[in-house]
Amino acid sequence: MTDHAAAEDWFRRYVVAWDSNDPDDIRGLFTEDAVYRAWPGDPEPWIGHDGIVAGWLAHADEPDDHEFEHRLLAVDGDVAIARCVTRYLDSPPVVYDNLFVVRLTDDGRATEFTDWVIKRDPDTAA
Amino acid sequence: MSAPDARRSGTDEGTVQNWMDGYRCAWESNAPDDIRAIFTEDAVYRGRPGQPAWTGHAEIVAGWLEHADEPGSTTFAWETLAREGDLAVVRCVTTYPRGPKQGTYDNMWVIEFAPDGRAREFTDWWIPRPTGPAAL
Repeated sequence: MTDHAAAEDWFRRYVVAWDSNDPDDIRGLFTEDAVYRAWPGDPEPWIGHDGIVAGWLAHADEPDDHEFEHRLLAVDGDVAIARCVTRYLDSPPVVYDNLFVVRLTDDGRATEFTDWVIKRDPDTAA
Repeated sequence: MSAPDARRSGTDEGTVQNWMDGYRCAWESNAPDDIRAIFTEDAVYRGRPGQPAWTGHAEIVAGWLEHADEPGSTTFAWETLAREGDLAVVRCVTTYPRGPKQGTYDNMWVIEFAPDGRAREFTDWWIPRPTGPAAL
């Protein structure tokens, strides 16, 4: 069972790890056997601390190459879902709409994370 | 926590079930009355996040019919992932066995309900699956 405060704290720590790319920060977000899906149909999710840290670092962003905003949509049982927007500050910017789906333990770590990521079409964006 | 279910008071599972049944019925019939029945008059329908929405019954029916699937062209499975307040988030898998959309799609539906059980906002997050069986 998680709650808004625990979910918000997880997202705060996720952003810290996104910016630091520090393995300790990354590991602190996940249980030892957690599953990280970069998208829902991901055939090769990152599994466990080693898999997640390796995958994360292989795809690491720089702290100043993007902007991220999130809004918690729903917290129910162990699931927290947030509506997010990620803007990579390229020229022109590349924008992704994200739905982050996280299952949290009572100690505030994720057992499962899935990024429902959809690239925004710049020609038809709302 | 004294009332762990209080935050769910806005939307119960029966509301979600009825609405999903109604959506599936409209998906198969493409009847304007079936489509209108599941949305408030001023509802906002996003076929994809971050894209312009269809707003109101007239736009939703027109958009729906423009993108209509033939009856029987899909198999569909779903389960409620989360409910809080007026919101439900529903995890779905849609399979088109043949035709121009052939393949399996992972969907997350974000539905905001009006008190009468119709949707006032709907967004379909859909992502094609490259291969593999259709399973939740």
